[in-house]
Amino acid sequence: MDYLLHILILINIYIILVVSLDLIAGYTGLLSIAHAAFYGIGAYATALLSIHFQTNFLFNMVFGIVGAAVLGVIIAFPSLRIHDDYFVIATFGFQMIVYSVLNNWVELTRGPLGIPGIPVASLFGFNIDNHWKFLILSSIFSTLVYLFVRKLVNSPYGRVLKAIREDEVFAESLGKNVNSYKIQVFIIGGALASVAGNLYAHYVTFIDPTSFTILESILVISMVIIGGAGSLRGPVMGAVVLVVLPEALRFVGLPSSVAANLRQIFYGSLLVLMMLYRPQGLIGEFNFQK
Amino acid sequence: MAETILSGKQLRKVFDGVIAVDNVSFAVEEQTITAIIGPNGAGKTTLFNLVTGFIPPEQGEVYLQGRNLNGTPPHEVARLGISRTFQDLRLLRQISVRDNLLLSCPNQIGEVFWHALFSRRVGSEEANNHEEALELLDFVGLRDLTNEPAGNLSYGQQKLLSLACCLATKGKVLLLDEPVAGVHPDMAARILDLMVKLRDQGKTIVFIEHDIEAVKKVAGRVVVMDDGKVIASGSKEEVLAKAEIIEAYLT
Amino acid sequence: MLSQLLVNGLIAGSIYALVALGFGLIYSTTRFFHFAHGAVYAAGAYLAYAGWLLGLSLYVAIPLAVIGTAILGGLIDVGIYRPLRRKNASSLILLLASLGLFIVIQNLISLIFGDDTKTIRSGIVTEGLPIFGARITPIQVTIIIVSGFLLLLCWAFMKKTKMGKAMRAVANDPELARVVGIETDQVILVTFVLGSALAAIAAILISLDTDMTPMMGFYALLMGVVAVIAGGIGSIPGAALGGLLVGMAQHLGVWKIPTQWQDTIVFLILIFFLLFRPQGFLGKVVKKAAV
Repeated sequence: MDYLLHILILINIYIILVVSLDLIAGYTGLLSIAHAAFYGIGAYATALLSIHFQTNFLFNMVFGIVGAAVLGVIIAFPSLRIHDDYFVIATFGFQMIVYSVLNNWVELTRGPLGIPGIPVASLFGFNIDNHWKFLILSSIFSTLVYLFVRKLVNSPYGRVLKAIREDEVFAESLGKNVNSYKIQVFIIGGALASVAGNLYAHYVTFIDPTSFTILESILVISMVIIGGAGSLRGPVMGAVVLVVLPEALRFVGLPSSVAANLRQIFYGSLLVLMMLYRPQGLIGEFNFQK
Repeated sequence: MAETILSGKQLRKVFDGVIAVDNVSFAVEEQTITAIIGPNGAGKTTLFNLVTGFIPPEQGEVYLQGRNLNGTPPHEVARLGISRTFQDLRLLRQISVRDNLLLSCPNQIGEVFWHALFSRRVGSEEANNHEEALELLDFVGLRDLTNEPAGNLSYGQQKLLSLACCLATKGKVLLLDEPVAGVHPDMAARILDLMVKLRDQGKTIVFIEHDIEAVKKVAGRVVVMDDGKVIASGSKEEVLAKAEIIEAYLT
Repeated sequence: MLSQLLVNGLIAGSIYALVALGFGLIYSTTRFFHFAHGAVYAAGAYLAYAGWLLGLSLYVAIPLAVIGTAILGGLIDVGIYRPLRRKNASSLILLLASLGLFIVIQNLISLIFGDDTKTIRSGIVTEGLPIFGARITPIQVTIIIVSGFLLLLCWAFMKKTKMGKAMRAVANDPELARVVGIETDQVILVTFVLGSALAAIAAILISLDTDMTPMMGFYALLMGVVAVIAGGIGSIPGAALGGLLVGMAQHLGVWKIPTQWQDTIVFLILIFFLLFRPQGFLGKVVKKAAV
């Protein structure tokens, strides 16, 4: 039962990650493999603050959001000048830089040793210290994030984002400040991903840089793409599929490293297959074709 | 009485060593229709790009109602009142005709992050814009295609749509890049007709065309470009009468 | 001290130059980032290892591994990229497919061989010959020489042979090349085969010096990407220059900056070039959003 709760909690965390990345990549067309960097900033911000200053997780979330927003502005800048696959390479570079900071700035982050003993989240004196409570907390957040992004993308604001995705020159000629929107979505998407990181840190209570690598970024973008970029339910489905199906491998009794490899082979193959036969994913709108 | 609404002074643009626009100056009066003609590669579209801020000039200035537009980004130029269409017909083909128009409406608070989420006014703003969009569609004659994905329209209809989007931005100056090229003669007549109506309603139009008949029909003034330079400019009658222009143009 | 850093930079640079060369050749003819190149690279080393495990002498295992990897590269092109090209897939789609392939191949290697370090080094660890105050082992000398030789060979190939010229034609203007009668699909296949062989040689060379792990491919890929972007895409001297730059920056950086930030320097170089000089030192200007 606890295991089932664990899966559901993970799904909630990934829902936040995929929906926020979908805003950037699926709706605005800015493919990014730097999302784990935002995720990591949120996690590390809350881990460090709550251990050194005993501050509340919500308070820390604000700091995570600010840190992610700063990174978002930095990453958005190249998108104003370079496009498509070149931009992906730039996000790749940024992801690697953030990872190496988390891994090498030992004085701050303890590097590869990670940060153990992260206190549980607490709300009005109420400790979120078991799986049931965390499931409720994470569900509240994932629902809020989902509704937030949904309202945004279905509004005229969302219409501009989709226009930028399809033809940014046209959008600009209609008076839309394309550069400003690109920066905004990275800030918003990044901030939401840092929220996921915050929750993750208080759930697992021990974090280290290996949870925030380029492979994690690729996993999240795979979820978005396989589920369907540019729709909201698509990435959520992608998240569910890519969290649940590989977990099923555990039940077959395979050693965990083998299961880890198989899981990656699974989503790597799905990604290739999708690109070959259905780039818009299961139920998406954007097929990365320009 | 006729005010100069748009002008360019000694504009120069170089691409990779090739002078695309060479010391071009022009002045356009309000409520007129001006045609820019010239062979391919003469620099006409580049001139449009310079005026609308999509590319920066090496030298020269552009003025809109006396205001220097240098360094102004394209979206700002659009907001200041210059709207344009593109030679390769830019539109959002995946969405409906109506949604293309809704996108084109200016000053929408619903496009601002905070308001999109929390303002109650977005609903009524959308409704108003919807009304105006329908009126525009009536004006250009695309009303029954309101809900069609723009990609399903014929080439000529798409040109009408891009003109409608231009109008939806409420710009005072319209720069139309080949508005009737490649279009069925009936449709071309319709478009030219609309251009005249728009001028009478107060718009200023500058258009690039290869079709001399179209130019003869609607233009008030004509500017001829070749090799990046303006080789003639004046009233339609003066310019088109000059034999050598027609020669250079046809060869 | 400085001379040792220079030597180390030269050794690393030689390897990166080979990876960048293969990667850059593929990019210039296909116009997309073939991320899976990193996994193909690793496969080269592991195929040699597999051969050695099966009892073959390295003199047999290594050439077989290079051929095997070249075939792998060819299969990837024919099986995945060519069908995508037929559908007119954008470079983004190709990049994403390539990412997926990378993950699959890397994990297959990890699954079959395990994550621990494997070695094909059979000799005793020698101390290295002294040169200008630095130490360099025979293997490391081999790396530099082989790398330089291969770079020259490729350059000659591109300049003098019919296929080489065809490759340059496709790189310059695929449409025109097709019109002139060049079979672009065949040319691209050759590029993949060659590029993959180069990657395998690079991987094997480095393994003879410092062993192999499944992650080695990822690392080499990164360096290859930076080298290609810094040096200039489609340019062989550019790839060499870029590789050298990356190798040097990494090792010389240690002089002033703590070792663990070596790689961060490399990524900062990448971002710098992407933002300010995407055509690299010697390449041509790359696409921007055209009006």
